[in-house]
Amino acid sequence: MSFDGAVRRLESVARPDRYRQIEQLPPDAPRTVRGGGYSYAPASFGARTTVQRTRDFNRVLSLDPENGILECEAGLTLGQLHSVATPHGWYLPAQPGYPLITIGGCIAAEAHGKNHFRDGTFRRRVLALDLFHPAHGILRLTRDSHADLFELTCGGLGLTGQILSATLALDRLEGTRVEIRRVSLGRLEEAVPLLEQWAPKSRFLYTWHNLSVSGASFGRGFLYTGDFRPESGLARDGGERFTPITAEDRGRWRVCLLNRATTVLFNAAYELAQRASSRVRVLSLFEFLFPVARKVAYYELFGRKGLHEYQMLVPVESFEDLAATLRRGLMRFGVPIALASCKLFKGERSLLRFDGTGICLALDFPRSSGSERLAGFLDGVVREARGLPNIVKDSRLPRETVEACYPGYESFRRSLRAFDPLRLYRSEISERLGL
Amino acid sequence: MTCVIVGASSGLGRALAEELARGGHPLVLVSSDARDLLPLASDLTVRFGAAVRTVAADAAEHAGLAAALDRAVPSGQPITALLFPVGAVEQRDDGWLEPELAERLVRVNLLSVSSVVGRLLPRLISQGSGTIVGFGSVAALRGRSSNVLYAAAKRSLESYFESLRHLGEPRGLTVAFYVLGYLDTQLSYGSRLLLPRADPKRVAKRVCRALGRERGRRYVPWFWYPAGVLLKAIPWAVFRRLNS
Repeated sequence: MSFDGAVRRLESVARPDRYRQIEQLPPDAPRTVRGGGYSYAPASFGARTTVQRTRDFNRVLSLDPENGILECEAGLTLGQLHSVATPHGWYLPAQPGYPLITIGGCIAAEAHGKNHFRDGTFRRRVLALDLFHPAHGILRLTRDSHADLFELTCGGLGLTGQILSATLALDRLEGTRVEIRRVSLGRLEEAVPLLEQWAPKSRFLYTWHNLSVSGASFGRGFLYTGDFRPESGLARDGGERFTPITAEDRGRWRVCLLNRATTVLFNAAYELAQRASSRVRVLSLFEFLFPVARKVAYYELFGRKGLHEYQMLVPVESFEDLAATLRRGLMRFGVPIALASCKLFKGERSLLRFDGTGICLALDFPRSSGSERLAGFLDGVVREARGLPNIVKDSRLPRETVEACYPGYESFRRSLRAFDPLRLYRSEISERLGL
Repeated sequence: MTCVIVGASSGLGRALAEELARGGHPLVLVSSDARDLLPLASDLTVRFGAAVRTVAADAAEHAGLAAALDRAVPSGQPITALLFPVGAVEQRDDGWLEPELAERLVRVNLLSVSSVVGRLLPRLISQGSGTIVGFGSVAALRGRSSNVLYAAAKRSLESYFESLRHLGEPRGLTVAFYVLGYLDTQLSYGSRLLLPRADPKRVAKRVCRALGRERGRRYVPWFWYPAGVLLKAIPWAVFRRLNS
């Protein structure tokens, strides 16, 4: 099952725990690699192949404590990496918010964090990769050797082969506590000037918006800016406990508790609680990097049918029009927006990577008949704004939208087919997008 | 201080290696494939600062394995424990297995253990202390029509450990044999089972906590003790109907 609850399939899943078992599949058998299984869209199953889990390939191969270079197998989770690197004074910037996500998954999905404007996407951390493909054996990819394949594999949705291990450049940790300051913003459009104003002064930066209010204050909310507290030292915070959740657990409640009325209430309650609390909060680095770790209940609220997360990256200059379109358009669908949040991106577009410069807006809403129409409407909005929809967040994103939005689509498809004419590594995503 | 683990690179063996490395033991790890063994050794060194030596050898070549291991364990260092989470199954082990494969099952499941113990026993006896830990399986509680030779070898192993107790205990050694229930590993992944699977990490913790103190035969997880008693008490006339 995909994490957003949209796609369920019964497939044959293997859990190899030795290298020779990875190689044991017949060389022409189609296959899919599955890491943590936390991609919203079915990136790790859904093409009637043999699914190979990587959870037992999670060993740390080396750590250079002087230079912060860590080599690990692709099944290592972000939480495990965190507990290995922090005591040596290092951390991995550009990571998504749940500790059981694997390094291989981050590479394949070209993940980002709350600091894209400073640290870019995950690829920037990757110095080298070992990639296995039955027709090519094990290849070491770097920016110098097999450079094209390196580019294709970072953000390659796991379609080039199985990432066995990666060498990562970590950043020096300036403290294990993060201080977060809250700034109020009056409407959705204010996100752009405020994000740009705070960017030079922030390490981490994101916003939260209440889209349940209509009229002039549509999308009012808060901007959060965070940085390390240097005096906090490198002491272990001890706060690394968290609730494990899988795609299957997420959907254990039959009903969705988020409807229009409750969403208005939840958003209002969150807003009120924020206003009532102190403007400055201090969190442990673990709590800050992995906010989902203790808030898995949020995802359970969406019930068995699940949720849509529509994440788009739009140029700064189109954001005002986009906000106006959303203000006018959202009401029509009667779909409650449970969460809306913006981040600032500074990067370059290429291939199928969710990367570039602009504002990244994420919208969460429960899955229903209206939600499909809303998502279709957002496809149009993102195309009009010359933006990018995030492929790994959306289980229904049609091929034509991806082709229209991603100028690198054709070049990705061509390179992938040139490297792997049999197209052995597949997933629901690759089938749907014709890759 | 040194602990030797034969069959260290996956499942329970890997969990034991992690648990002992966390406890600060120098380790000698044995497994068939260096590609699995070396990453594990690096991981234990980075995460726990453990001193790890590795021996990549096929357990079926038991005499060679024992000799290689004897060389790899530093002669000046006392051996705290020998642990044998080693084993192999064959999918077609239904009574009609080719002689070569059948022999291989017996070599890996039984003779690899007895050869290594035989080789290192003089050192253990001369140091007057040390623990030897074997692992059996609930699959050997009763003979079934699947895993035929595997179960036979594991039951032989149980008998071997009972003999080892006679031999070792008067000379200061501790001998323990754990009959393991289903473990949540690559082998059991995806299969439907009657009783819950145990996490190899928890089993490893349980075994290491009692290392050097517990002796004799134990069932892990505990509920396999009553289950085992019941299973053994079922008369043949009934048991043959249960067998599938």
